[in-house]
Amino acid sequence: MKKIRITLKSINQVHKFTGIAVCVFLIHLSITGIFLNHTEDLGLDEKYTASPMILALYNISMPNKEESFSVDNHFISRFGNQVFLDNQPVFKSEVPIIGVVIFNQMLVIAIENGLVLLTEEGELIEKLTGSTGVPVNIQKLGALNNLLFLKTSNQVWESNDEGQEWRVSDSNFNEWSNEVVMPDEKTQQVESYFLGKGISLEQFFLDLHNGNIIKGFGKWLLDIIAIFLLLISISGVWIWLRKKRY
Amino acid sequence: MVILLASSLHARGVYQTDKDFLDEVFDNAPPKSKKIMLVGKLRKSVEKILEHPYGSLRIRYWKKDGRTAWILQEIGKVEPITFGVEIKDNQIQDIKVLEFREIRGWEVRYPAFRKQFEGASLDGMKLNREVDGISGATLSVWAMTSIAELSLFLDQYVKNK
Repeated sequence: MKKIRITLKSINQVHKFTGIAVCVFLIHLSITGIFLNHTEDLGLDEKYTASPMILALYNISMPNKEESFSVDNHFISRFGNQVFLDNQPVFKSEVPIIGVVIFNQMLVIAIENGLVLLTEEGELIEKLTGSTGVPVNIQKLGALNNLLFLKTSNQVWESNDEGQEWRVSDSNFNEWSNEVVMPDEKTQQVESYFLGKGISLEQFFLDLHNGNIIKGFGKWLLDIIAIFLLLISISGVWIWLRKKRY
Repeated sequence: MVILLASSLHARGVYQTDKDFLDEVFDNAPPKSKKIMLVGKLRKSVEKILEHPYGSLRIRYWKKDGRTAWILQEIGKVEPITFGVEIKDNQIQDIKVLEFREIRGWEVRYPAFRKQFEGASLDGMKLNREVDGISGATLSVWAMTSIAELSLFLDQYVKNK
């Protein structure tokens, strides 16, 4: 059996290889370490980042804006399946909002298969569906005087009792609630519901430093670097002792 | 893992529409709905039964030939579960899961479990019987029990109104 000899040359090669391999990570650990050492001096615990790239690393994202309507200085919008009254989450809906009107001091929101009644403060009064007599496949919603109007695929309906009973309308009503573009300022208010303040820089640097920023694999990567650092230390001492002997 | 995920996704959905439930309770001729506003003492009583406020300010029910039907929602773990309850002579005739939105705990929809509620009535503000739980569906069982108590309480309320 061939005997494996550990020569100075092979130890030198191990030392050189591990040195090159850990060089970049040592720079990374040093820089992030310095930042973490001065967290309070730099105020990193009070500064937040909402960079989409960084938030994506934490699986924090903003759902798509689906629809938005405006009534009486309020914005009703749907982001993902969450419906908002201004920046307040009010109920969930998988299906699109069709229209919104103010009626008898209530917010009436039409979705494809029913109506949702809210107080002006956003408290849910009731959801009305086909079982309570609301026409289904709603395409438009409107209100005029004491009447609520709904347009379905082939008919216009009207109700004079807060949507409890509906009859086919013969009026020429045509003032339907339509989508509006939500101002950036209002959109940002809703964003804060999903994103909060963002991620504190202290947390970000800590996760960069300990490898947690790369979910799962990061921890193992840091373990490999730690093993390389052990190798470089041992091989360094070995080389020093061998050179001292000769 | 795939089988578990597939069965969880399969469990979510509408088991029976509101309309089909009402047609079943009232032999295809459901009456017009009536409504109760949850205000004042009534609101507080409802809050006591559920141990939190009900999800809306108004509750709708259907009443005909001494029979009432209720379509009510209660949170399971995160998402609301929609229940349909039929009551006659102060006793539950049937309780059903109409729509289930959670990923676990759907076992409460099985007739073998729901049978425990048949004939149940109120003793004070609680059911007059113990309901056996289901392992892994504890929150859904609690939700169904709360809704059974709430519907019996509301049935008494509308009778005494």
